[in-house]
Amino acid sequence: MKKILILLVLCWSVSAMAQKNDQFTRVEHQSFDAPEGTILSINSSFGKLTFVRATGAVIDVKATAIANVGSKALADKILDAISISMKQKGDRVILKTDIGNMPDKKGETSFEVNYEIALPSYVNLVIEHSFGDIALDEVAGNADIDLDYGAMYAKKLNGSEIRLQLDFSKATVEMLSPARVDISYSSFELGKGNGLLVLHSEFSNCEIESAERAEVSSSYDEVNIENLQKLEYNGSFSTLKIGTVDLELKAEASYGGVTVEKLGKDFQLLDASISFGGFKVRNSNEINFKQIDVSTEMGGFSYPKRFSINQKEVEITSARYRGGNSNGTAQLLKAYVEQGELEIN
Amino acid sequence: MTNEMKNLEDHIRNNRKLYEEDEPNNGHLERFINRLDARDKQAKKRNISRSMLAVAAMLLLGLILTPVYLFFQDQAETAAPAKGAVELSTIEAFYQTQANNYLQQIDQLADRGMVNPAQKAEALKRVEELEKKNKLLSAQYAQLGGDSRLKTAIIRNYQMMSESLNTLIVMTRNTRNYIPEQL
Repeated sequence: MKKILILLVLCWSVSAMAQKNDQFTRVEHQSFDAPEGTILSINSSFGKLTFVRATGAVIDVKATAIANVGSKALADKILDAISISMKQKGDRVILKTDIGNMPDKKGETSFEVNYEIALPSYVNLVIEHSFGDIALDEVAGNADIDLDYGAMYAKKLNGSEIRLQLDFSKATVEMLSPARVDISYSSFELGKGNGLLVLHSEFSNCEIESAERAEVSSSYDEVNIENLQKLEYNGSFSTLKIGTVDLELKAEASYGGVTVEKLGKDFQLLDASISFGGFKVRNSNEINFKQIDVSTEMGGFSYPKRFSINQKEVEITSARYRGGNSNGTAQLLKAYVEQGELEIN
Repeated sequence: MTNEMKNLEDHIRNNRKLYEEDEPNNGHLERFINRLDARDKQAKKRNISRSMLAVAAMLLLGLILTPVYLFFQDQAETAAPAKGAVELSTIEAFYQTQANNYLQQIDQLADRGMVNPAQKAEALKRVEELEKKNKLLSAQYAQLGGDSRLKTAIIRNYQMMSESLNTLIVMTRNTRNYIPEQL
């Protein structure tokens, strides 16, 4: 009898606790005409934005507010505090989530507001989202995406104007047309970048498989680029690792390291300013430079024997190395090294 | 043997028939077993009905208590915002202390020319930005009744604030112009 009683009390407790996980939802649904040139503007938070391809010139939006709590009364309070607005003004479709005061939830994650959006690929996107994920397929229109405390996946961002801003977030983009990417306290993975990538990054990790041209300014980051043609880099307190750079590398690096595994056969220009850090080229691919001009202040420069250094002016704390090979395939090696090391192998 | 015992023995011997006639009839054992079975079944029935009664009572109790529990839980959830706020202020105090400690070290490095004024200003600006962000998040945390996602974000902000200051210190100390304090 005692056992039965204990079992029953346990069952009651569990069932009472399980009440907390009930899901209460409110669904809102609306469709909008979306001819070419339409802008979809979304301001949302605490949920997922899922984009799929629509068949016609229509944006179809299904928004679901979900409350995960133990009682309908509490769910009603939470759902009442969530307001979802969907409207169209001229060429702009505007979706907005507003969240009012909510009852205390003892630190639980008890609600979310998810959007499922079917749209034509040409629609231009302006998204401001926080505390949630964004899943995009192929976007042929422009995209201006600002994500805080979330994650994003995009297959292709092919518009002519792409801007991504990530704060405390993680983003993966398979393919990106010319774009400006600003990230802080985040991680960013790019498969292939076409055209110019302007990347401003701090306290973040960036992994780029390939890019044509990139302008990277970085502080306190780890940036890895497997392959690119041209790079302009300005970094402090960062670590930059490059697999192969095919044509040009201009770098200003302080308090950090730059490592290049290999220079491409057609490499033309290396222009570096290094202070309080190291810059290393592991394999210069038997390249000779037509012109070499390297200065050091309390720094070091090491180079392969084939480099024709004609003038070497060495003083107590500084040195200058000049020369070049008129038969060289690369144009210029120019560097200033202060309290650091430039090493070319 | 006493006389009384002897008399009793004699009496039984003389009246053997009387006692032999009282032997159980044929099939006594089967009847006995059947009776036992019937008694067991009855006992089981009584036990099952007692259990059913207990279950019913507990269910009834559960039906009454669950709404009461949920009602008070709702009341508590609606009425007690203080716990999360206290927890947040503890977190805030911890990271503030840590950040102040790092800022002091950066000051010392700056005094000795190891950290340049621009780097120090940048570090302070970053701290200011993250603190500003955290104020907004804290307000939102209160507004949303203590959402765990906001708390995580606030903690991450503070962690990044500390980490950024510490990275500046560590990387400055790792450079070749760094002169240890004791020298």
